[in-house]
Amino acid sequence: MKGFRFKKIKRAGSKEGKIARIQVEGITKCFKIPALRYDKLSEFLAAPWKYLKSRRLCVLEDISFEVYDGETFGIIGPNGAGKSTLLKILADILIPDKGKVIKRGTLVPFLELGVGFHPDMTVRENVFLNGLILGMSRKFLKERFDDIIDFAELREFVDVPLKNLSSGMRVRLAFSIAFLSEADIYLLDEVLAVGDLHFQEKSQRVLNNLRKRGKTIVVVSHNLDYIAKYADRALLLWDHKVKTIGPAKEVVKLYKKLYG
Amino acid sequence: MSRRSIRNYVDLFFEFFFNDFKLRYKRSYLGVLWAVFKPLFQFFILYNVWTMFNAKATRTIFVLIGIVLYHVFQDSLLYGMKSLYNKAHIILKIYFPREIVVFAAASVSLINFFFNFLVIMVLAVFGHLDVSWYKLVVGLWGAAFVSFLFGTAFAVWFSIWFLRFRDIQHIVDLLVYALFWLVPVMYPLSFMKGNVLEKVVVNNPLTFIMEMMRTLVHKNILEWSMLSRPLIIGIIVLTFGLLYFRKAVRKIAEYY
Repeated sequence: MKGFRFKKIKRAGSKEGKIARIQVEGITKCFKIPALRYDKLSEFLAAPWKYLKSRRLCVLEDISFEVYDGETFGIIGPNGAGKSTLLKILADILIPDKGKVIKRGTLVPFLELGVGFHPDMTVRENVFLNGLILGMSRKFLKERFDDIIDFAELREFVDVPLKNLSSGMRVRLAFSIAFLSEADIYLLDEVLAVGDLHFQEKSQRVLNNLRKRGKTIVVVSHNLDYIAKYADRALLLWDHKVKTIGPAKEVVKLYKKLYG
Repeated sequence: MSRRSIRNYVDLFFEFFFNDFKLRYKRSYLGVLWAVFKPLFQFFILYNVWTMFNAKATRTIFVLIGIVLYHVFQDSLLYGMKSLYNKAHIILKIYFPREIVVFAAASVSLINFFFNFLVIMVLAVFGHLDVSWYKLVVGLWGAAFVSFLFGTAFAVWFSIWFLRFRDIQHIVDLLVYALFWLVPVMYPLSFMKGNVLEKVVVNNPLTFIMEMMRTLVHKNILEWSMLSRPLIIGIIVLTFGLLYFRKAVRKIAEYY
């Protein structure tokens, strides 16, 4: 019954003739969680049976879905449903216990903005560090350096250590570098919720630009209005399983109903 | 896999490599000068101790060379071992071949060596070392490279284990300390005759590196063949290490 329901919705949301950029086939991910944590060997030796027990927590159970070329795909669900784990698996940071993920095209994950930023290094140095980590070449970064700085509105802070910048400025810098990355698929984890109104508006424009250029975007967010407005389709993770996949507005409505 | 070009791997390697080095001396007034000052000071102490024992300048310079080469091994092992842990904030957020992190961190030992090398060259002039320039430069860098390779080979294994058991750090600290005295730097190899540990010292791959430098400094003879043993063992440990690393690294995100 459940399988039937799943299939029906999938068909409703699929786009004829479009390739699946991401194909997730039955992935399961479990973590072993020790029942009790010990810090010292003496604690362990006093009562080893207490510490040897561990719980298996399956964060994701038999997850399957597809993300098609050019669509914005939202992933929603309550805290602890497995959204971030799922995104980490898509980004190759975690390996699923079962099932597989097939990706077609290049992928840039933004599980956090400004990965690798070092407070003791200057803005200039951080642009290169972050850009290279995101997979750009040094030559490309050199060519686009001025654009990055202008977009971040940090012209006068180029040689200032990052620690002397406000957190808003840091986010601006991180976003400007991220904006330049060229990929087919983008993974976003709550990265849009940062910054002030002016910046949020700006980042939304960037995202719309990516959508217009036909990029595939997978976005995890608690901002349901945002998902309903911008995502084409959405997946609702509930209790470590896929509850529904379908047009974003309907999935958001269902999610709201589940919460009463 | 998110596809990246080889060009990006190379760029990323050098970025980590130079940053690791730069950050070591950030926020210090003398900055990189410390890299030169430290071996000089070390030599100053050594010189005074060894003259107390009536040693010749040549002998003192050899001891310094021995210590410096041992430091290449030690630094590449320790830097490489801690690299995955130190880069956790990046590794947990984005995928790229993790080997780059270990190699970049271990390679910083070669920058340290470069500054030590300058100090040794200056001392070689003032100490009237009777070795041809060419042989000393080539010999030193050859020996340093093999020490680096040897240290890095073990770092590849230890970097993974370090994530799971933080005890590894203390175990390796002790091993590195013990191993220093199992390498004939502070004493000649003949000193160990009849000792219980003779077999360990004689067969220690690092001993061959030191003995090569000893023959070079004292006799002005460059015996490359002495490097073959540590080189081959290093390559074997590194090859198996990389195979192990490939497999084990897939799960590291869960170890932090």
